Amino acid sequence: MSHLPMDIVEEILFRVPAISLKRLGSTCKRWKSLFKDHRFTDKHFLKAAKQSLVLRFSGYTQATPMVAGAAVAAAAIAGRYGIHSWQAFKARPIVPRMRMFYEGGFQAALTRREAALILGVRERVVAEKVKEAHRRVMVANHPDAGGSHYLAS
Amino acid sequence: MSESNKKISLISSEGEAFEVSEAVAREFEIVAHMLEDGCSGSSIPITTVDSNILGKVIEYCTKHVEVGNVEGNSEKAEKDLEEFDKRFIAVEMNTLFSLILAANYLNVKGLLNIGCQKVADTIKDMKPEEVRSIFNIENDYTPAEEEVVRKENEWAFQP
Repeated sequence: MSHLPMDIVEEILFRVPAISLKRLGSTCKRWKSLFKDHRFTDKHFLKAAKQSLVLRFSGYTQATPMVAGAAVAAAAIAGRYGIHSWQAFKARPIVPRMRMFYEGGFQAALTRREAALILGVRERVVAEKVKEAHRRVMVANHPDAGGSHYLAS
Repeated sequence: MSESNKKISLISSEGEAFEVSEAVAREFEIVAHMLEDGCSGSSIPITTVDSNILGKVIEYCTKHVEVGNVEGNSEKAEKDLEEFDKRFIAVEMNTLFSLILAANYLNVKGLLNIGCQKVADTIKDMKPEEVRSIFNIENDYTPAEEEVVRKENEWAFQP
């Protein structure tokens, strides 16, 4: 249909939400590498900042009886494993402690569990703790400090 | 300002002349720069834009200059202008692309912005195949490679 120069195509793509860009990576190789380019992502972040990622909690986990049963079994196994791991934990080599953050593998809609993983808190915690954890993650991911735009937005 | 009464003709690629006031012509930054550089001739050829598109761009600029001159009832005027922009940009893709190209060349920031936004809104829910046909992009993935990329981003394909 039309041959737009690349700079105009980029102008357009800056305005496409990040989740759609993810999908449009399979349009062609050039686009895919463009979306990984820091020059592009930085600018995209600025333009798309207004369409911030809205955190959606899809409610508490709905435990079906089967899941509950599995949980009991898992707890038993975990209990045994726990004893072993505690011993291993005590004997662990001393390593500098790092803050652990969730690596990713994001689901389409953010679940409560996933949100908790990102923030590094348990799923059921008081609001204050969530706020504090949120601040910690935001600081750690601040773009000025070389953090991830994806999470910070 | 007596200057704003001055008329300038813009000449399209077909040689058709469009007479506009200087204020409207100044909305084209490329023209504004020419005028500032003392390139004062009363007609300016715009060889890369055809009559149809140039007419539209002038319509856009005229409207925006008109609204910009009216002060006071700014809220209503702004809403009107938004409505106008929306209608103005509701054209088929080919025309839209031509408008964007013209806006880019003539450096009409507002039009470039709403044009790009419109395309972005259109493609954001499209499949890669549809986007390819719109942008005239050749699929340079092999089917196997495409499958890998698609797998990686599978979660983004869910509605």
